[in-house]
Formats: sequence, structure tokens, C-alpha cells
Amino acid sequence: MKTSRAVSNSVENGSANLSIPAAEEIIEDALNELAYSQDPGLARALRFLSPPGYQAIVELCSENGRSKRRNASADSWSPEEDEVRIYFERIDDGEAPVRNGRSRSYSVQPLHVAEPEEEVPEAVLPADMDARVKELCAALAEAERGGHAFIALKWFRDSFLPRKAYRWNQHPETRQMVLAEAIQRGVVMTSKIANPKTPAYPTTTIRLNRAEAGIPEEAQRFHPVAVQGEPIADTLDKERGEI
Amino acid sequence: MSFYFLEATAFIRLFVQGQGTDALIRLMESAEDNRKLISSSSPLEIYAVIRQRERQGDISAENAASALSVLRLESARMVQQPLNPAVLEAARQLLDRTGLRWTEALQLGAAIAAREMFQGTEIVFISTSQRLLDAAAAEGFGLLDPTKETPEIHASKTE
Repeated sequence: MKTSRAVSNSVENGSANLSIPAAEEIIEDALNELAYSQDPGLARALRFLSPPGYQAIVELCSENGRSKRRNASADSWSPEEDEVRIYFERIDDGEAPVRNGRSRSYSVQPLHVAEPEEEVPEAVLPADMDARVKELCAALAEAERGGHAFIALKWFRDSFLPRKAYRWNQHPETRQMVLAEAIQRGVVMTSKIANPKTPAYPTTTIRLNRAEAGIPEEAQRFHPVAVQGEPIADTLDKERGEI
Repeated sequence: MSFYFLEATAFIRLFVQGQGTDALIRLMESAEDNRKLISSSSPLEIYAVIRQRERQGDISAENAASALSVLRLESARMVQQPLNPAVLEAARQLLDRTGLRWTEALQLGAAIAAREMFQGTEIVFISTSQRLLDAAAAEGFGLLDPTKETPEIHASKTE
């Protein structure tokens, strides 16, 4: 029963030929991308499934709680008899946790479970969040101009965005926070496209909602203002001093 | 593929109307941001000039805020050449052999340092200052003056 059910699941979900570590990584990615969900019904659960500033670490375990062998196939995991363990590691100073070693040398944060009556604290947004979102939108507009067929959320957040000269974008935690805020405000929209490598787990893509973001179409990118009196360049020349 | 170094006298025309603004905008819209270079001092220099003209009543407060907002965004999108020791040394050498002012020498020095970084790539020096254009030509840059009626990229004099 266990074997046939597990195999059936693997075919349905595209996990055939997946190793245990690969399956765990897929689940981790899915959990981490949950942070960008626009479903308001998920909002409270996301604080626990994908807490800001933390990287989800997933382990597929057997029913006795021990981790599955690393070289085993993902097909050997059964939803009826086995378990999934989820814990979180703080994302510090731009360094993503090293995943394959699964070393416990990190400060492991236990999964916090709220009591039903417990108040869920509101996240505190930085005072310059508006400016940050605006800068993120400008960066996304530039990425869209780069001729890519689509903009993958993870690529934009972890590869493209860090190259910009903003004050806030060198920390994964703040990049995620600003991107999530932009999605929440509707200025950045998400969608899914099929991923040939893992058909069951499509790639999350993003695009700029120019109308909401107040970002003009590229033809109107510059809006030079009028100046009265002498040309502006003359002032600049005078500022540079006498010859 | 050319890169464009926007000297401040040209760069400012993207934010405040002036002769050559339209031609410069057309050029900027046709080029990717990672091919647009500026000195890291240019945003501050332009910021100061816009604020000064605002205080003199030549630019409305609303327009100044708009121009500075676009300046901030556009500057962040372009490649900024920091004023590092290589730039300062290039500027010092320019002061020895040209009549440039030190602020002008910093601009051209930044372009020279950027060219060292992007070796093998032509960098077009864009300015409306004839003195800087002449000095840039002597340094082997391609030139563009957006105030010309029909802007076009000129081959450097050394080629």
C-alpha cells in the first residue's frame, strides 16, 4: 500500500527520479515563495510558514522521525506514514544558509506556534518604504527592458536587485520585505509559468504594474522641467568656477 | 557596441529642459542602462544646481521635486564611476596638459578611468562644453554634443 501510493503520488506530482535532497529543496523554495502570495486568506498563516527574514529548511523524515537517507528516491516518502519536518534559519548579512550539509551550527529557530488568542504582532515597515518600493519598481522596469522572455522572481530578487546602488538592497531580508510590500500594494504582479525541470512546481514570475506603480511607459521616462532665465547648463558652468 | 559617458553639462538636460534635451532623451531611450556611464559626483552637482535655480525662483518647487526625483532614479540605474584614486590621478594629469578646471578634469578623468575598466569598448563622451569636448577628443574619445542640430557621434581625432 505504501509503495503503490507513493509511486502514484510521484507520477502525479512529477517527483519521479527526484532524490530526497532535491525534493526537500523544492519544498523549501515553495515555502519561501509563499511569502509573495497575494491571497489575503493566507496572510496569518504565512507568518509561520514563511516568516520574513528566515529561510525554511525542510527534511523528509520516516515515521520514527529520522531523516530519510540522502541517496534515497523521493518516491520512498509516503504522506500516510512518513513526516515532514520544517524549521527556520535566520538569514544573516546576505549569506544564505548552506543547505546540503544541513549543519545545525546555525542558530536554529524553532517553529513558533501561536496560541489561538495570541496577538500576532504587525510587521514594522521602514519609514522610507515608499521610496524603496519606487526604487524596486524602477529596477524591475529596467529588467523588463532587458529583453527577457520573463522575469523570474528569484532571479530578480537575488541576482538582479543586489547589483543596484540602493541603500537597502544588500540584505536578503530587506529585499524580500520590499518586494513583498510591492506585491502587496499591487505595483508588482506575480504569475506562474511552467518549469520543464520540475513540472509540478512552476516558476514564479513578476512584472511591473505600471499604472499602479506610477511608472510611465518607457517613451515617457524622462520629464525635463522648464526653467526660466538663463539655461541650466550656464548655472552649472558658473558653479564650476572661473577659468 | 558603444558606451556613453554623460558629462554633467549634458546629463542635466535630461532633467531640466535645454537645448539638446530631446535628442539626448532619444539617445538614452535607445540605449540600455548598463551602457550609460556617469561620474558619481554628477548627481550631486546637478542636485545643487537645480536647488539653486529653485531658490532663485526659476524652477517651481513642484518641478524641482519632480526633476530631483527622476535624477535620483536615473542615476541609480546608470553605471557610476566612483571618484577613486585612478580618477583623481587622471584628473591631475589632465590639469597638467589642458586648461580644464578641476571640476571638469574630474569629469573627464572619470571617463578615462571608466574606459580603462571597459577596455575594448568604445566610450562616447557626451557633453555640451566645447572645452571638455576638445579635451576628450585629444584623449581619443568619440564625441557627442546633443546641442548640435543633428546630433551624431563623431569619431575621435586620434583615430
